[in-house]
Amino acid sequence: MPTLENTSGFERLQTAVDAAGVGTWDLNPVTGELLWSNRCKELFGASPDTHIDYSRFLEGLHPDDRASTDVVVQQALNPAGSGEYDIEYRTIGLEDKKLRWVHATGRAFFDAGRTRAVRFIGTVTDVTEARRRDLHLRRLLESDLIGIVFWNLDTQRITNANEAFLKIVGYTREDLQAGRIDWLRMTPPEYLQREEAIVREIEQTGVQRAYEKAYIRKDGTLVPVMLGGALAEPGSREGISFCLDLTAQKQTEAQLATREAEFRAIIEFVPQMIWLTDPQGFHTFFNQRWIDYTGYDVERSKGTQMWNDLLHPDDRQRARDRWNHSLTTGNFYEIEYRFKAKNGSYRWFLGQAIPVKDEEGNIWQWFGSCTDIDEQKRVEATLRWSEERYALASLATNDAIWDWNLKTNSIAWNAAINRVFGYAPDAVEPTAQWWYDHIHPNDAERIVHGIHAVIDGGGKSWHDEYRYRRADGSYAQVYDRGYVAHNDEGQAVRMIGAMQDVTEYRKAETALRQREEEFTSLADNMAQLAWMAQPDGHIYWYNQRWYDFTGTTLAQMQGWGWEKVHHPAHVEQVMEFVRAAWPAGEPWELTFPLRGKDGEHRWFLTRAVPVRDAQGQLVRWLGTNTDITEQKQLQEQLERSYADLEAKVMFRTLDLEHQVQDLQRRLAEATK
Amino acid sequence: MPDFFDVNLQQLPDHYLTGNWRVSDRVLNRTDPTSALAQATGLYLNNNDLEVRLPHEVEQGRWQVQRDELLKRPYLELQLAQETTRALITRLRRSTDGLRSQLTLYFMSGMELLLLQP
Repeated sequence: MPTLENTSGFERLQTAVDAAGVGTWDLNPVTGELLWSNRCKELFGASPDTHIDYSRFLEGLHPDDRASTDVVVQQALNPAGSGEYDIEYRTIGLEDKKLRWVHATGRAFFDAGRTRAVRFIGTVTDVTEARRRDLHLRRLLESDLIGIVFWNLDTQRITNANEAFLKIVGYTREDLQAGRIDWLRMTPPEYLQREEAIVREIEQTGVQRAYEKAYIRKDGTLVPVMLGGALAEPGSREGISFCLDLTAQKQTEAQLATREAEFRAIIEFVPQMIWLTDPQGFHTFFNQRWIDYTGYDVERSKGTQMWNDLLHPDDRQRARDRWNHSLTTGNFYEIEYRFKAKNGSYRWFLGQAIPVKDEEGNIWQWFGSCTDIDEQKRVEATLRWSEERYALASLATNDAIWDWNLKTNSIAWNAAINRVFGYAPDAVEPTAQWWYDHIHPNDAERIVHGIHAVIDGGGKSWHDEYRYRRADGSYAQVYDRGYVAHNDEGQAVRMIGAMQDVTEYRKAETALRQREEEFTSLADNMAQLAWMAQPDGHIYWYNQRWYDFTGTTLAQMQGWGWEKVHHPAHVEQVMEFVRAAWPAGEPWELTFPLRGKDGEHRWFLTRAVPVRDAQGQLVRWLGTNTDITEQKQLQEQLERSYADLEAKVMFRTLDLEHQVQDLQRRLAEATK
Repeated sequence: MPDFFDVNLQQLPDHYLTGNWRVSDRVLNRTDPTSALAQATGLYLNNNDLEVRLPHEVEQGRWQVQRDELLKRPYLELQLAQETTRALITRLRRSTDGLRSQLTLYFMSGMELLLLQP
């Protein structure tokens, strides 16, 4: 074991050098022998027993450093040079494959004639850590992520700075190199006093704690910055600081402040009632809407009692259950309930609340709102009633109701399209084209042109009649009508209508028309004059016989115009009779003369019968005038003949009658 | 054609009967067809004078209106040279303008004459 006594001076030196982490090497340029200390081998990633020569040395260098290192070695060995050797290179770890930065220094010794180097001795030091720090610092400086600035307390000048700093303060590198960047001049007056305190702190502690200030940029504008730094070494007058541009942060802060103000305004002025609770549901805040609605300020509303008291009694239990569920589970809270207003009335609200969580996911607040949906609830109720009524009406009607979206050209039908026209539900396509396709080909162009003329022309309603194909291929006669809805811009957006199957109605109408024609023919050709009158006697129809006989027109005869063809000697009597007959409502007969178009009066037997509806209400009078002139004359003649005969008999026996009367008189006198 | 109306015989003014009557029709029944009145073609009544126009001559006479309470109508008493008779006025019709008249007479013999003016 070596001891201090048995160890030579060189060995002791070697031991001290090794202890300092410095490796030594010794090259004999003449023989090429190369001796490395163990530390030296260690810095090349080689084990102590590894044999090393110059080529092995070069092999242990980073490929990018081999040529340059060899040049520097050869320069050191050049007798014309100084023999000094100082270089940094990377070793690649001959065995352990680790990359290291090594600082090598050495000196070449030459022969007496300085013709050649005879020995080359030096040391190697591991500077990997220092190089890494330098690299990091350089990367930091070059990255321009933050401003880096070097300064001198004595000159109060910026001695160096990276591009990021120059960009922050708006100066150029030329300004920097010309010494035109003076940090005190860049400091606004209001910061100067503080700046002096900071300088004193640096001088005392060597450290400049991060603080915020502003710099006056070269263009005169202010830039908010954060600075922090330290003296390069204790007692030094030079130092380094980082500089962060706080413009974006300040803008963000300003925006946040604005947002917060806006948020406060929103909270206070939104139509909803806004509230906050703690995680246990204890109300801590209410906005102005709450106060306005309930009449209770925040202090009186805090907690849970006021909340429950203002809830409608029928809603309290349901609200409590739902709220407890959300408080327990953290689930979104939503409910409809009624709150009492300060006037004592209740209105419906939609209550909603979301949990506000911290970074760990713990609920620290509930944010809630109550939206007034009272009107909506009423509308919903009305709408529900309306929809039910529409559904029931759809069932009750046989009209195929359609709803045409003019924007999408889609059509929705009610169930009557299936019921009335026989289509299966899946056979009805919800398009306007489907409707077009089922119109009778002879009607289609007219109908489509007509409906579009109304829509395009700004019309509001349309109706038409046409033939529409049923599912079995037959055609129904339909009466279709629709109404156009316009939006606020006046554009036609929707059309709603109803298609009514009028096939049977049209058949009945045709049959009715036929019957009417038959009746008219019958009435016009019957032997009697005939007429119809309203319940009050206003005559509105006469048959053709009447006009043929009297030579009048309906215009002349309508109402009470019939008086014109009555005999002046009889009209008053007739008028008096019918004035009583109309309101009596019973069948009646009357005989009176009517004047023919030839001016001759003829006698008519008039019969009138009342016609009543199902309720017994008198709806019209039907009357006939039968010409009885011949019968009348015959009757008069008979009566006259009889009277004449009576008179004739009396006349022929007049003398005899006188004699009888005389005898009777005398007999009477005799018997007195 | 003007309207005719029956004159109420119970209130017949005598002057309705005067004037020149034309025989329009006659029914003889059992009357002697050779008698003057059975052959008359016309009668003229004026005051109480009577003229009976025959086909070839005119026979003069007298006439007057008689009323009897047993009869509801008046009758004429006619006196001619050959006969005196009575004729019941069974009917007198006048036009509303009074220009036309129809007179029906029934004689005791059963003869009936229809006389017209004009």
